[in-house]
Amino acid sequence: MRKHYEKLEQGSPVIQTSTTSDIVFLLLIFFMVTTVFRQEQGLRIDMPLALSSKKVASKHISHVWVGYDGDKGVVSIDDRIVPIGAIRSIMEQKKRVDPNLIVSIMADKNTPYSISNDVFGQLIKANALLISLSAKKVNELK
Amino acid sequence: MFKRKKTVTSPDIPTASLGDITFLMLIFFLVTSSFSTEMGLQIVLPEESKETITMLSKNIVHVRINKFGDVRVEDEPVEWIKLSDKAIEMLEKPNGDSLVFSIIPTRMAKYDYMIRVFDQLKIAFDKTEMKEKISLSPAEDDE
Repeated sequence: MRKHYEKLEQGSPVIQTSTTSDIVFLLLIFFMVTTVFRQEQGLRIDMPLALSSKKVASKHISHVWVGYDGDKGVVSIDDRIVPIGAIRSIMEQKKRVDPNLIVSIMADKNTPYSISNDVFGQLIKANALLISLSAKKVNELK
Repeated sequence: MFKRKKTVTSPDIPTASLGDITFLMLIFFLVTSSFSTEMGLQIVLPEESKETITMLSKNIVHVRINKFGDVRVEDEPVEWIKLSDKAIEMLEKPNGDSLVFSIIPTRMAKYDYMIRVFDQLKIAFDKTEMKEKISLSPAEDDE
């Protein structure tokens, strides 16, 4: 009995490690294929272009998507379509949570200005005054 | 009835370079992936207040945009692409540093036209290194 026990102690266990890289590789592939980054869908918009577009600190950002349907504006906040009149209360709430809130307006470039004008009006009423007008940075305008 | 025994050859795939391939893929994705960054034109909207700020009207430059995208600076037509040069010229005049640009689009003017004008004015302020004074005015009715 004792002899048998000693034998067990002495035997050096060998774990095969040559296949670890295969396993890691397969895991990598698996996660690459399956991960989906959570993304705000917003609206389908055609963003305007600008030369002087600058990076905005993304920490305090909240998006307002502005599109249009004929003459009517379509506004989406946090992936929900909201009436323009409701922007004020939503933004007041967000402003309370984060006083340094920056509202990023993602508006389609063909939106009539009257719609964005109404959106600005709502933001002023909500006292959310830091605005970023989202525009794609280009180095040359045609 | 009896199956013939097949000759078994051991298939050998060389795996020594697998690590290298993985490493290269890692480098590739590291280099090509870009995290979405916010790009935009920042502006501070005016506060909603009862008191109005009075300004000398000669210090306000009205930039009007109609629904066709025509830009007029103080009723003088300007091509939008040349607006930054025009604005720089105005800013560099004596007392130019007290000028405030007011963008007034009509209701049916496209958002894009407003951004273009805003962009041009921003460039002018950037180039002259002056403090930005651009305001967005409520939309006017179309003629």
